[in-house]
Parts: sequence; C-alpha cells; structure tokens
Amino acid sequence: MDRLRVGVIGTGTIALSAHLPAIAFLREEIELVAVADIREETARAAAERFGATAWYTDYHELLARDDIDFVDVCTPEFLHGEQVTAAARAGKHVLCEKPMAATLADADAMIHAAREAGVKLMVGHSRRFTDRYRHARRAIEEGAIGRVRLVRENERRPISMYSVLNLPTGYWSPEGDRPWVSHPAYSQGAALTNAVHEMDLARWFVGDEAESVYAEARVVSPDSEVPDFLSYTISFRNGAIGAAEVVNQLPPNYPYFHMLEIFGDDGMIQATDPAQSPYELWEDQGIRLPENFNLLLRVDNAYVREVGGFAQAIREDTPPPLDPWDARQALALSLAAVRSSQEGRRVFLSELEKGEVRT
Amino acid sequence: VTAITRLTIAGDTDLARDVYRYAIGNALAERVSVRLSPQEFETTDEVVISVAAGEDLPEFAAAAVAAGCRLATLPIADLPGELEAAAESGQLRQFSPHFGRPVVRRLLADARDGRVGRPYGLYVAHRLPRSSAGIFAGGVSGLVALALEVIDSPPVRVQATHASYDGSGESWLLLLRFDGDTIATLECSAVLPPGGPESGNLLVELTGSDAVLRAEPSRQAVRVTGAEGRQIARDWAPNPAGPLLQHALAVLERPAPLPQARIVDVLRAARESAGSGEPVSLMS
Repeated sequence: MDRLRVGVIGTGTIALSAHLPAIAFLREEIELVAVADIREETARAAAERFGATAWYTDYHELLARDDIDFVDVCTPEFLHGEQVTAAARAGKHVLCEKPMAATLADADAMIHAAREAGVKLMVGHSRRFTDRYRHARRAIEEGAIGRVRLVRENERRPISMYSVLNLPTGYWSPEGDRPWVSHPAYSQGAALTNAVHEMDLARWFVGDEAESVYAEARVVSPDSEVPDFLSYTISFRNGAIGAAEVVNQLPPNYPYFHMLEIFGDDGMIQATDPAQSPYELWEDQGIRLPENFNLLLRVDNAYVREVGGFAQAIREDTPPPLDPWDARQALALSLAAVRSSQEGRRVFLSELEKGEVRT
Repeated sequence: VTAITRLTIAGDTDLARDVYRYAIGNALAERVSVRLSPQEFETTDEVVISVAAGEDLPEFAAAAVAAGCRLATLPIADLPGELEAAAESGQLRQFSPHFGRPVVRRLLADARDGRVGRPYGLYVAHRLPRSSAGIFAGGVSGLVALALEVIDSPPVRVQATHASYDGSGESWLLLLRFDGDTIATLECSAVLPPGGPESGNLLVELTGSDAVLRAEPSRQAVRVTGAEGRQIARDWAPNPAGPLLQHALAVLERPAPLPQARIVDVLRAARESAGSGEPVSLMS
C-alpha cells in the first residue's frame, strides 16, 4: 500500500503534542513530507524531530508541492479560513484542527472551497475519536438511557498543564510576548479554544440542533486579555439542555479533567475523570492525576484515530468520519456564547445565520 | 438561643427526606423548647427555616413573626406583601439546608478565610430523584442561599433556564454573576433514575487563583449493589439538623448577617428569567 503524503501547516502546541505524534505513529500508512510555520526555528525543529524532508516559513510553498496528498492545518483558528481555502484550491485534501474557524463566514467558505475543488475536508474534533465519548454515544444510540434531556460538562485545566505534564508548548506570539491565544486581536477566548469541545459533544449526544445560548464569561488570568472562564447553557430545539463550565487557569497541580454527565428518560451516564484516572499521585500540594491528559492524547489514541480515519476516507474515497457541517455548527454555538457573554443576553443561533448561506 | 424569644419553624429540609423528615424542625423545637406542629409540615414542600424573634428584640418586627408562621404554605415565587417586606427589611432568615453537611460548612469556612485567593467561579449541582416535585422551592432556593453565603459580594444579574421533561423530571440552571465578576453556576435537576442514589447527590466546587475547594457530601454513603442496580442504601453522614442549627444561630449572631432579602430577590428574578430566557439585573 502506497503511503499517503502529508504536509503539516503550523507546528505549535497542538501539532507538537498531538498531530505530529499521531502521524509518526501511523508512519506505515502516512509519510510526513513537509511542515510549515511562520517561525523558522520552530518549523526546522519540528521537521528534524518528526522526520519531514522539507520545512517552510511560507505555507504556500508547501501547498505548491505536487507530492502532497493532504494537509493537516494546525494553526490558530483565525488563519483557518485563508489557509484551508488555499489548500483546497491547491487540490489538497484538508484535515483542520478545531475550532473550524473564527467566523461562520470563514467556515462556510471552507466548506464551499472543498466542494468546489472536489477534495475532502474534516475538522479534528478529537473527542469524537476518544473512547470514553464514543462509548457514551454508543450507549445513547443503543437506547440505554432513553431520550437525552441534559448534558452536563465541566472542563478544568491547571495553569501548569503543559509544563507539569512535560508536554511541548509553542503558542505563537504575533506581537511581542503575548501569545495569540490570550490576545484579543487573534482569539475570542475559551468559548472557541476549549468550550467548542463541550458544545460539539452536547450537540452530538442530544442529536438535535440548538436554538439559543446564554453565557457568562470573565478573564481570570492576569496574562490574558480574552475570557478564559466560561459558563453557558444551551437550549436545544427538542427541549434538551447542554451546559458547561470551562476554566483554563486553575492552580498548579490541579488535575486536568473533563466531567461528563448525561441524563435521559431511562437512565444516566457519568464519566468523571478524577474518579476514573488509572494513576494518582499524592504529594505535599495535593493530588495529581498526571496520566489524564496523556490518556486523552496518547494512550487513548484519539488523534491516531482522527488522522487515521481521515486518511482512510481519502484512500477509500468515502466521506470523512466527521462531516464539516458538524464542526461548523459547533463553531456557531461557540460564537453564540461569545456574543451572549459580550452583550449580556440570550443569543439565538438563527441570528448568526443572517447574511450567510448554508452550503 | 437565649437571645431569641420566639421561634417559628416553617418547613423542613429535603435532604434525604425519607430519612430525616422533620429532623431539623424537631431539633430546633427541642433546642428552644417550643411545640412543633407537624400538620403544618404535611402541607409544604418548602425548604425554608425561618427563625424570627419577638417584638422585644429591635431587629425583628412582629410582622416578620406573623409572616414566618404562614411560611409553610407559601410558595417562594408568590410571596405575600408582608413576607416580602419582612425579607427586604432583613427580618426573614433563610439558610441553605446544605450547611447541615459538615463538609459544606468547612468549604464555607475556608472560602471565608480566603483560601481560594481570587475566586473565579462557584459550581453547585444538586441532583434529586426523578420523581421529586417542586424542586424550585425544594432545591434551587437552597443553592441560591448557599451561593450567597459562599460568595461574599452582591449578585449583579441572574439568568435561569428551566426544562420540564414530560413527567421524567425537570432541571433548573442558574448563571449568577456577582460584583467582582465571580460566576456561580447552579444546577438543580430531578433526573436521577430509580437505580440511582435515593437521597440525591450534591457537588460544590469553588475555583480560585490559589486553590480549588471541592465538597461532595453525598459520597459519604454506603453503596449497595444489588440485582436492581446501584443505590445508596444508607447515608451515614451525621444528622444535618444539629450542624444546620449551629450554622443558623451563628449567622443570626453575626453583627452584620447576610442580607437575606437577596435570596428572595434572586429567586424572584430567576423565575422571571426562566420565563423570558433573558438575564435579569439584580442591581437596585
């Protein structure tokens, strides 16, 4: 079997911690040909570490190569619209990191460009490929809890998550020392960075579209200028509710975890990470569950399934395992939460559709 | 106790209702040597303990006592004028039944001691059996009372979402923003299936810059797994009546007790918000 050839655009945090390791794991099926990053040192280091034969600081040069079957876009969301559209027009299939884009207009343009070019597009909502959520979804499909009424999630991340877990970090700082993720010119905060996961899962488990979102948000980190604390309630058309509290800046050593509870007419599903960690470390400062994030990233192989599933769809010319429309709708929920928290009112999804065309 | 010349008990906690029915009311009555009228309890779903003093204490007016006597049959959302007046003048005292749990009181004490540093948010989830009725009065009020004691700043606005599940339970979700930007996420849902814990469960989590305080009192239980599935057969936590009484008296004896009118204000605003879906300002 000929290996599919991939180019990775953006070699920051998510590429280094998840996508590139997954591609390396799949080396018998996928060959990493080239990487691109606006930061020369970062691009060169990633290429050397993961065995790419070429690296670029201009992603257009990567797209100009005719020996690349698909690109994996791992840049910040505000760049996705431009880069994914360019990749599609260059005839490359595109796997894109979540969130899909920074605006619905960009998301719609990405879908449109992929269709026009006849290439496949998938957005990497990694939790759809994670065992615990797949089990939950399967239980719902099998009718184990009846009709889903309430999806309740909390996401907790310590400020030290990457350093404590010895994971690489590489947030790009387009202006001085301020990483893009906390800069208001480039990021809309936790609603897109993290909560898009919870919103996508809620929509997946409920099995219906949302009607409205109400959110409260705030900035808790002295280093951030965008909200890094978010609590929201989603009202779905079928009467179900999705709700979550997401915070990124908890004290060092607080365990990274995602609590999931789903209540239905005939039962409930509970998956709370701290109680299910395969490893606990008690120390002076309290308890640490250092395996949890690794569980999501590596042991569980969610990103291997994600990248491998997309590659399989290319090889067999079948639809990708996740339709871009799902990612687009998760983005719509995130943007509704942003607007709700800014304007102090409930935001209907229909408001976001004005002036935009469903493709 | 000696400072209180008249005690009116109206309503009871729904914590493990089957096990502790009237336990708090009985404990209060016994503590201050008053006769309890169980018939009043039979007609109420309220989760309010009203402690009101007689006319000889300047801070409590006779109107509050009279209103408190009738509290057992009054839905919170439809307060009569005199009770509203009592609440707004600070004469009505309400306490979250969850402070009957030592671990929740410990969380409150640590919060007051500033252990979390800058508070970020408060998350409280109270889950009740699907068959539970009247969870706004019986559950939401207790969460609001808890939040207003734990977060030491005035609430600014509240948004509430209510969903009823066609006879399969209901949920109330409140997002409560405080002055200083602390955000409380309060959820009370009657969603536990028959195989779930019979007495419900409670999770309280206060996040902040220096620490996270997490209390889960309902984990203090004996879990029995039988043919019908898992359930909590016996909650072996200490009877909450005594600790709650101590808490209530401690609050009453504070020089500047919690402005209780806020509880009524928040509950009233939450009802209004649930009707419109929009947040309601609590700034006067």
